[in-house]
Amino acid sequence: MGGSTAISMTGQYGMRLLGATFRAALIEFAAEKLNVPEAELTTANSTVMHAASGKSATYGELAADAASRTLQTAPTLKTAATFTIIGTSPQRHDIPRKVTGEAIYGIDFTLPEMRIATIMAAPVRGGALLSVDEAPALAISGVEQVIKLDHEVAVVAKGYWPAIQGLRALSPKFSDAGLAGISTASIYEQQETLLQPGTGSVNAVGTVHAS
Amino acid sequence: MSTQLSVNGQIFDTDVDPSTPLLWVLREQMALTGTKFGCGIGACGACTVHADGQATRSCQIALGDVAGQSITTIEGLGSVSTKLHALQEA
Repeated sequence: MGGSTAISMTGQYGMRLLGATFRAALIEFAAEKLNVPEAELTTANSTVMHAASGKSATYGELAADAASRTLQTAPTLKTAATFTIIGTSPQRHDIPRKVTGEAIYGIDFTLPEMRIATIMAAPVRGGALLSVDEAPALAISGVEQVIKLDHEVAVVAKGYWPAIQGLRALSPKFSDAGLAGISTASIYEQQETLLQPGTGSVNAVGTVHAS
Repeated sequence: MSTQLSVNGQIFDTDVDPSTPLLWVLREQMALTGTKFGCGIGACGACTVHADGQATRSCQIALGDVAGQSITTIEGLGSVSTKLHALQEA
């Protein structure tokens, strides 16, 4: 089960089970690789260790080969006494950079001579760009180009601010794609009409077989 | 026409059109991208900075209106290596 309830519902057990399953596969492969008995192996800090010989292998070194193994369906789970993370409140890795403004989001990314484009689509699905006077946008300092597409108009500029201003300056004319007459009232009316007996099929998909 | 600001304690001179929103001066002229462009209408608060100590929506205020003022952005609030501001710590 996914989504925001995953961990609180079944996830805590599910994650433990998955972790234990992969851990078992890593130990199994490590036993062969290090040539030591599986029962003498322990794990900590993403490493499989053999205390008696001092041999060890990291999960990263074992992962590719261990991934091809048949996984156990009922691995031994860690006991609560050996938990190192569950029950603690570790700091999130992303927060320090976010609260200091250092984190780079998509809008913050830049390259030398990079240009920014803003785009406006037809307000109605299927609406076509009929005409647009480019001049008001091109008159703004930093705006370089107005691009006309089938259903949208875009402005390319040296930065976000001129690109935003350029788009605002345009008054594009879009077609209504023949949908200008549609309203909440007209949709209800259409539904009422279709609900009347004898109006036939609205949408035929698939085949019903008599059993 | 040149406009002078103090941003995070540094004096900054710019020839940008004084009608440009402070947000874009910070982000595009000074590369201080910690101040974000969110809604663009002063509602969400992602662009908030301090202008002479007052919380200000930088997308809604023109450069010319804060000329000579002291601006503090999130980059100037505190850092992990020195000391985080109480707000960042929270």
